[in-house]
Amino acid sequence: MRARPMAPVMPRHAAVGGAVVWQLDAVGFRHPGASTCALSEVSLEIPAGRVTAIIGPNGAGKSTLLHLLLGVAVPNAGHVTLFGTPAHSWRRVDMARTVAVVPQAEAEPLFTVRDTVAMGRYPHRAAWQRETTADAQAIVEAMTQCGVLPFADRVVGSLSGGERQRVRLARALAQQTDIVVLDEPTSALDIRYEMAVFEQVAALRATGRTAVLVTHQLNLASRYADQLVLLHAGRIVAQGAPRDVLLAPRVESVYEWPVEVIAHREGAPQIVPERRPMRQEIP
Amino acid sequence: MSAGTSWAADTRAVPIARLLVLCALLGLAMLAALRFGAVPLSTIDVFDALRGSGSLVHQNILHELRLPRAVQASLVGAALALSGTTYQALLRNPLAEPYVLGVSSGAAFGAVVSVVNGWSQREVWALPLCAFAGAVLAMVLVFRIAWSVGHRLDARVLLLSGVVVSAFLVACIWLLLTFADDESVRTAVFWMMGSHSGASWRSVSVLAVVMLPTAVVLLWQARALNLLAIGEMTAAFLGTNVERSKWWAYAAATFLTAVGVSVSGSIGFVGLVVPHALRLLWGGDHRLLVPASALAGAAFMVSADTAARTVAGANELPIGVVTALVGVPCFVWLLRRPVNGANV
Amino acid sequence: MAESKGDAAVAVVDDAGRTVQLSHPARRVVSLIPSATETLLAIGAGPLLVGRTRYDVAPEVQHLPLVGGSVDPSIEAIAALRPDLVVSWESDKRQQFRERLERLGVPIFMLRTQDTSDVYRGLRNLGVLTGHSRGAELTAARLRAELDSVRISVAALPRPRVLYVVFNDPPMTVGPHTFIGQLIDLAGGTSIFADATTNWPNVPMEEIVRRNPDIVIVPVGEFKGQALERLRAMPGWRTLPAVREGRLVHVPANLLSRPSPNIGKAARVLRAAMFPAFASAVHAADTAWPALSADGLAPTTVDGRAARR
Repeated sequence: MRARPMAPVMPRHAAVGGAVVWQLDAVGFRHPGASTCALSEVSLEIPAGRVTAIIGPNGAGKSTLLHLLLGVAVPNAGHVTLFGTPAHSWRRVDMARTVAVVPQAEAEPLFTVRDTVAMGRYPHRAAWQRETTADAQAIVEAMTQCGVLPFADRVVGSLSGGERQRVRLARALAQQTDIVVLDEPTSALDIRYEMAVFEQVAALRATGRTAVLVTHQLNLASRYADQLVLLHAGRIVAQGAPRDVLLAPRVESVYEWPVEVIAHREGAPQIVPERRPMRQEIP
Repeated sequence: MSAGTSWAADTRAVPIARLLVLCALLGLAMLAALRFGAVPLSTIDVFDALRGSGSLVHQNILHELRLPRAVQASLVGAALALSGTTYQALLRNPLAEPYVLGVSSGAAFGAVVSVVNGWSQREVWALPLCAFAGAVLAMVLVFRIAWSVGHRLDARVLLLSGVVVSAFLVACIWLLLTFADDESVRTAVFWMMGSHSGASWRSVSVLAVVMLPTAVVLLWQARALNLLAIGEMTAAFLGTNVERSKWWAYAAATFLTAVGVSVSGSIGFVGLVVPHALRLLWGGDHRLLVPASALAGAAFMVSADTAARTVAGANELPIGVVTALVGVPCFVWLLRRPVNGANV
Repeated sequence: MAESKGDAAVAVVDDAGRTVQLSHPARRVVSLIPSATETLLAIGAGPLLVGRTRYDVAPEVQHLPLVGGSVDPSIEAIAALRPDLVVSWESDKRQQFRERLERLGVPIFMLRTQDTSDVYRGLRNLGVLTGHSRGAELTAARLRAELDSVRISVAALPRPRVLYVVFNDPPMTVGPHTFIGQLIDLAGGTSIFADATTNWPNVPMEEIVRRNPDIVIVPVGEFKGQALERLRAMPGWRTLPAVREGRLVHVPANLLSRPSPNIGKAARVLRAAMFPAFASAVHAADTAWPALSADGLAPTTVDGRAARR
């Protein structure tokens, strides 16, 4: 990540509906030294003001896709543009003011919850600038929304996995960006907090912001996402509305497991994997 | 509740108060360093001698021996603590310390080369210069090896390179010493144990001139260190130019270590314990941690040096022995304190 | 201690308290202590030597095969020379070394090398062991005369306060019970650390400044001039009145590193260092031999003659 030319300054709220945030054209990516491509022929549009969920089995290339979107990886083929400019040529500070990321996991040095959430305001302040009241407000709001305000003075390392995930989400919310990218945000959460996170994502959408999330929660993604992108072995197998993507034969072939697709009263198809006893070894 | 600030808007008051406390500690440590020694001076004697009045012997002892030594100890202590703080953040490892990337082995190698060839006998500055050259050599080797793996400075690869380069240079040192005469071996071993007894106003001024801009660089990168301590991806996502920050921070920290070791040998433990202890006490915000480490490292080193000079009568203890013997129990006590409801 | 006569058996108690018995005076000797080598040469037992260590600089033994270092010689090399006597350090605590040599049937004689009395005793004992008692007596008498002459010559003079610098950083000097300490006292000076309790005490620089010696004596090896220059520039040293006012004297390190019959010469050299009026009494030979060459091994001049290499 060497110094790059400055990206054009983007308006604070990109046009809702119809505008495209990310555009990918025939993107291919191979990890250095790998024999196969992690992604190939990926073409995709991520619309503004919508929730896009990226799903697929383990190893399908979902994290790689996120890295390309966020400009930390450079495609070997094709283009990845964010608001028309290649993602990897954005200045990191500008990117941080436009896109907030909730990572799946990170190290736990001795910071309190409040300090961690406060880091979400770093992109908006110069290095030694004092925290403003606006900053403080954003921090408190974000902590309240994620239900971590009671832990504000506790060291992050002393919290449970689920609480830590919520702290990371709070940090991303404190960043107050138009776009939020979440990498498996509910992997350690119980029903209450899982639903709360997805409701949060829905709330973002309601305020006109864009959300991209990678998740294994097919059923919740089906209910909350406007667009599903199904990845398999580095290629897009299907993209579109959940009811168009989550068809039984397709899901079965991608996940290599028999499933039943049930209709939900909200109209979002629900995936129920069938039981299949482990095959006995025949001597 | 001592770690971190309360959830109201963060103020500057608490960190500044803490830094003032450390300044006061440093001041006391310096005073003790000037007072105690083979020739005991009272506080009044010290101030008289500083002003240029009082007995000539006292003035000589103070201006020639104790003052430059105390200043050198504080500068080297600050350098090592700053370096330890930075490495602990960059390598995301609380066990990181200034010598982890092979710098002290490189400096020792350079020093031994100059001793064995007799250069250090001819010129007083030959040894520190060679030590510094050795340190830079080790630094270059480690970074080149690490960079050649994936064209990034990966933390684990750096650590491994440091271990490997260190082992190689230490083997070279022992090889050289096997064929050296007794006096060279003795000089080399004494140097490697670390000591501030060679302090002079010249060495002190070189140290100060070199350390000041480097410390400023680290202060500049303090916020980036906060983020890098959490993760490089996270740091990037929060707006840090990760590679640039890493290069600056690694260069500054390694340079500080190289200079510190060249002047006073490898004194261990300071660069590991001081930053870690401050982290346990006051949390991991580098905007406080960086200046605090410098002050605390200085105070710790000066006190240890005074103890090394005075505790065993006429014999001077190696300062590395004092830093370890004193540092370990304090550190264990700190580790066992519960931190905000959890033992960290 | 029995007097030796021709081929009679000898038994001598060494400085470690063990009795060494030989069936006849030694005919093949390996000395691991450079000062013992000099003693043997002085009493006329030079031809009995069959091997030398890296640190034996005397020209007479340069042609002998090497057995390694002084403290860590090669046992095989020693055994290959078939000695019937090995002279080793009394302070050498290595049981293993002694036992291995004894198992090979080689007797070891332990010699203490600390002070003047050790020199006389060593002369006597080595004389008996090698059948050169007469030569030992003569050498001892001559040494006694040399030392007495030095002592008497300065008896009436005021005693300067002296610092003998064994090592400059960290500063190390000599204790009163070393041969150097005793020689300084004999040659008319008083060491400022005459109250030291150990033989080679490390002393703090501050203490040196406080005790303020009149004369600073520095033993100098191959880098003569530079060592003094360095000392003049070092913090602490450079403020000493003795250094500032030119009372910083060098003496040949080689002459003062071994307690052997050469201490007679050493006494004269020390006397000249403390009392410049006696400088003319120091013979050229005293300071020229044995001078070291750059590699610290073979000497370059011997009493004006070129050395054999």
